[in-house]
Amino acid sequence: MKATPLSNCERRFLLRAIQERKRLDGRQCYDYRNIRVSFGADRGCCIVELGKTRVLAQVSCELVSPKPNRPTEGVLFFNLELSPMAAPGLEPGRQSELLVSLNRLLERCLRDSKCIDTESLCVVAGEKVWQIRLDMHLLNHDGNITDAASIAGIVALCHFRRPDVSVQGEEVTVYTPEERDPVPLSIHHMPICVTFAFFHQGTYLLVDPSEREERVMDGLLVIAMNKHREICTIQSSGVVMLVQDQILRCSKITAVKVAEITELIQKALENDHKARKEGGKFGFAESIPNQRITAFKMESAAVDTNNVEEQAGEIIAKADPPSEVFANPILHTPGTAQIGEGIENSWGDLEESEKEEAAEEEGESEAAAFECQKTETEDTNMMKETKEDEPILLSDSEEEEVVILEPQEVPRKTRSEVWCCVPALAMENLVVVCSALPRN
Amino acid sequence: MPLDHRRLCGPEESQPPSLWAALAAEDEDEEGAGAAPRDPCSLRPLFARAGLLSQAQGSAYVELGSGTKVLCAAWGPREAAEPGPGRLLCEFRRAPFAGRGARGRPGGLAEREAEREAAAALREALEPAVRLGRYPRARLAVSALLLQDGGSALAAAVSAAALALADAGVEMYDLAVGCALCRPPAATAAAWMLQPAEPEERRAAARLTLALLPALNQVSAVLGGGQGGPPEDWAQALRLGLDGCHRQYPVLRQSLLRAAQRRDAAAAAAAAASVA
Repeated sequence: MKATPLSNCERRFLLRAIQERKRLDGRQCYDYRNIRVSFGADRGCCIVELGKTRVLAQVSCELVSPKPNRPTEGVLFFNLELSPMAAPGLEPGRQSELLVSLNRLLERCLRDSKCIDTESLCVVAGEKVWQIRLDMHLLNHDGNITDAASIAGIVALCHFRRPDVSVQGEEVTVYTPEERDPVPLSIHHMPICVTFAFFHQGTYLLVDPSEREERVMDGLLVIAMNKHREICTIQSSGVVMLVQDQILRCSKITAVKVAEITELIQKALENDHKARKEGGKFGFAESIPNQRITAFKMESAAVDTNNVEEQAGEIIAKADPPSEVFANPILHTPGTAQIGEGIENSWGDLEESEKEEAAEEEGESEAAAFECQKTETEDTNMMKETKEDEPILLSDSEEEEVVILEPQEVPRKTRSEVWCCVPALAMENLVVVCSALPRN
Repeated sequence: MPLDHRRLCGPEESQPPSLWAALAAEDEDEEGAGAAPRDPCSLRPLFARAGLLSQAQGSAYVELGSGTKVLCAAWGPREAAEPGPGRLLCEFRRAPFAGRGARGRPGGLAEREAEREAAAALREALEPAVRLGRYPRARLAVSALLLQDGGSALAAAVSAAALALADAGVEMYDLAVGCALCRPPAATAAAWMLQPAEPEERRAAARLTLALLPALNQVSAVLGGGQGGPPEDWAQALRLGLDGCHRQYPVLRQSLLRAAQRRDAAAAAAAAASVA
């Protein structure tokens, strides 16, 4: 399927809102969406939710022979997959560029930064090393896949435990998890990607763009940093002016964000570790809420109500005065009142039977009395105005008989006259108001 | 055992060539490490020539002093069915003989991915420079071929591609100039170096490539990665790279001018020949 294109008015609205420093979900310019990390029952499996963007990451390991030019280093393999489950536009044939760029960015972030110690993955030099494989799947695309995937990747790698291995001379023994506790990977630091979106030729800057914002952005800057304030990867696209100042500014913001995210990750890892140690329940069944209807709810968004009074005042001042209001109810008997009077059916001449039916229907609908009548009066006002204009010629064709129903100046007879014609019909359908027929 | 008369036998005391190959590789490495440290801000000599292929509408050849050779061809606007502004299609290929040593797996996935990433980076770098709005519903194609990889291949490809597009007569805001930097591993001096050679790039702890539109002073692409460093370090590297781009710009412009002059002279000669 092709992704639905963004309409021009939506694009304009988004750009205008960004100019006024407002985002669709009420965030500030430098705010991240809520990040939730949940772990699976297996070691090395986690789901990261960044707002509504969800990425699943799974780490697995295998003993293989090393690359010939690096006999003492383990092998790392990273893979991110996009599927139509995440967004309809991500079909296998259409997403190659996005896929390749995301994969390479994640590889650069995780492999080139040397965050994982590959020397520690060596078992027998030149013969057997561990191959660590990180597979990531995008479950839902709501913008900023890069950040979510980088968080998922590093969390999964920190969570993973590989089987313990001992080497005695020529013998290599791989212990099962029951014999010896599995060993964590040795990770030097945790690089996390932070994405900045530029709008209006680089004037406005937003952190963590959502899917809509990504569609209207001019350019993108991705900085991967760890909590020691070291930049591991930097990639920019689109035209960016004054790049050094942007980089320094963005790196300050990045440092703050990365510190927060790293803290969150550490807490999540600790909680899971505690749960596993104490024998509590862990896994997706616990952390992902039950799929009830109320499970997916909109999170409360902060609304800026500073100028609400002024804005409301402005709107009221500019609005048209309300039309004639029927405020006086007519009390017929205690418990029965009538608000407003009906007007006669202005559809033209109807036959006797149809008139009766029309009267019945009108009776039923009188239950929602006030607003309907108000709209009816407004309609007649409008129709009177159009009648004053030139008659609109619909078509010249002689084949069609185009009859323009001119709204007639129907004298506003009250319902009471119409009711008098109604013979004794079953009155159950008529509502309370009608039961009190006003006496002429 | 019957003698094999179809083949020439080597002498009895033969040794496998792989022994010697290993020695040769070691020699090279020692040479590289022992060479005098070069000035980090020095630019290697650059050779650029536009307008050398007759079949392509525009072409350019860029050679860097370290041995990187890139040949690029560009085709002007061709009719395309998609509505909207024009599209720029980039392709980057490494020749099979481009790198030293064995190729990992010819035609393998890793190579194709690397080529696709390089093509995407090329497109990122060139798109801001080309006036795509002037070619609605058209497709512009650029194809870069890396003949020899001597370091800073992507940067050279960016410059060559921009030259080729300009040579093809496509309307552009400015030429895109590419420059690469790398930082050697922390054991040695940790200063950023412009335009690394291939062994330096292989051993580098961090790499950075950028593309600049010099006349407009706008950066169209930044691609960097490797072991971390403080942001001020990276900002300083960027400044160095931008400076390098500015210094390369006059050479590229000169090559374009010469190509135009050559074309005019050839056209005049052809006209004179046809008249006479």
